[in-house]
Amino acid sequence: MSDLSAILITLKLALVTTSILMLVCVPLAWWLARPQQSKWSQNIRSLVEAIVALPLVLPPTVLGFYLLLAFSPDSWLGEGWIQLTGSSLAFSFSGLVIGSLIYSLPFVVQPLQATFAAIPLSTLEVSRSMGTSNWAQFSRVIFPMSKTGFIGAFSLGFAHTLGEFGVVLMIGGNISDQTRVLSIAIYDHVETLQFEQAHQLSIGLVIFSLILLTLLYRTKNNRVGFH
Amino acid sequence: MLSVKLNCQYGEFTLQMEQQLPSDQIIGLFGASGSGKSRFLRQLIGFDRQNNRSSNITLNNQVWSDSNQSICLDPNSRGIGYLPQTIDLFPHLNVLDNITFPLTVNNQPTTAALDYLLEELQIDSITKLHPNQLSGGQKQRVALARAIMASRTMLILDEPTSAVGEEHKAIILNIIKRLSAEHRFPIIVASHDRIEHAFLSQYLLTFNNGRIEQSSIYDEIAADITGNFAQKNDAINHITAKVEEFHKDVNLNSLTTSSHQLWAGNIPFDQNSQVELEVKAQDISLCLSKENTTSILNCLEVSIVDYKELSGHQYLIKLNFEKQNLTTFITKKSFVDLKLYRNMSLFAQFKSISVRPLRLSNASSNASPNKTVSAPPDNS
Repeated sequence: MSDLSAILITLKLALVTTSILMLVCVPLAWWLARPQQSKWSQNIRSLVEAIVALPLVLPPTVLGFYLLLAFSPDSWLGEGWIQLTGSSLAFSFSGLVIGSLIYSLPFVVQPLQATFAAIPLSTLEVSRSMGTSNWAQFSRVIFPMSKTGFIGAFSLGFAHTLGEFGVVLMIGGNISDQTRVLSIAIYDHVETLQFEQAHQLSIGLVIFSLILLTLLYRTKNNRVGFH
Repeated sequence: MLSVKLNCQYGEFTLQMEQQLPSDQIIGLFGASGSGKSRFLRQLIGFDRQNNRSSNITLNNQVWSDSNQSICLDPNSRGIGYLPQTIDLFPHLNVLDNITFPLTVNNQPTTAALDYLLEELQIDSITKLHPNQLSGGQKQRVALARAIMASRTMLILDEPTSAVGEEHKAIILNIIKRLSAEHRFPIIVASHDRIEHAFLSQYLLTFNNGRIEQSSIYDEIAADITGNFAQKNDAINHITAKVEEFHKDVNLNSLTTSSHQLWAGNIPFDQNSQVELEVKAQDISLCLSKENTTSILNCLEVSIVDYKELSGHQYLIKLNFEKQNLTTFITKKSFVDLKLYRNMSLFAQFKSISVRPLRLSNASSNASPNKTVSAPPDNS
């Protein structure tokens, strides 16, 4: 029973996190992908790119540690959150979402940035000269030209959040039906020598991730009439 | 009138000009790579604003940009049809959707003329294909069709035939000519192909290192061999004539102008069709009297408009023939011996073998005059 709730919480966490990331990362990735005019903004871009990539290289415990500090009622974030919602961020589902947002950020930003950078400036200019507004430019040119990037960003962000462990352990704790996600549940089963249950969840996660990634690479390889 | 005053800085390169251009003609841009043609086109469209020190562009009293009043219309509200050198078809759209893209984004209906344009450009059989399935020439023709559909106030073509083969070149150039006659809006064509300019351009701008070197009607620049457009060896005269008949016995065509008969071989045209002939300036000689004792078949009554001494003991002579301009080169010795002067009447001679039909006009008979292709109506 608690395994089922762990699966549901994991899926919910992945879906919420990835959806928020898709909204935030599109403008961010667009800005990172476009050529910057001045030296100054080029430097800023490099810094932002490095910050985005940090979760790739840092151990999740470092990330989790600082997030835990930030979530504590003494910090402005933790305090503000309590005033706003009445509950603490640490060891809550909202806290998990914030942690996952940061942890999975590069997996959403980087595919989007790559796909945006592949759109030639001249193609955008031509569509501009033909009368496209900003929105039409996005919906009729940029989005359809970078569909693979969008699919990739969503799938990778989703799959990566599913597999999150270290950060969750640090900031989410292990509260059944609230913050216990799949990876933690598996860890628990192993700790308590319940190998059978650990095996069931693990193999499920392996198969699910494999299917997701296969579908992703298939859309990438099978695009007809494109490039 | 298209009035353009620009001062733009691209790194070390400066584009500077002040021009009043006709707004109902085909304007040719000529110049070496990097001389500023494409940048000028980009400025007209409204790109590269960050490079502008000042920009004042007005088309028929409509202000597109005015630095003094901080006016600069966005590219998407200028109504320009643009064919870039980079082609830039939309990879996610098929050929037909690419061509109708400018109509779709502006919520305009597809015109019946579209079908004719597709047929004329010979792309009506590939409308369902995607750009990655097309050859380079096909892509360029599709991009031209798309630019035409987008053009409401102006059509800008950057090297419009660079990727197409000879047979389609003639078709494209004829379409451009017909559009100009129908719409009377400026069509601006950048090309470094002199023959293309000879066929298309009514007005010509020659670029050199970001500045305009010459700006005038085409005929004048084509005749001015001191400029960088007309090179001495390929200064070419154009004579419009009508095909009279083919004389089988001598294997020659006779043609007529308003008051002369011309002889030429190899004119693959029907009787009575109007053709444009080219004769190289260096093939024309001058004669004070009409000679009957010569093998040279073509002899025109002309008068001297102007002359200019060139380096290398040569004289450039500008002639008037039935209100058309002709150019020839003669030696200084002949100039002195014949005692030439302005307004003098004399005869210009050239051999029948020197007469050739202008290479690009051979598709003109294909264009049906009854059907028209029109760009979407101007909503602005």
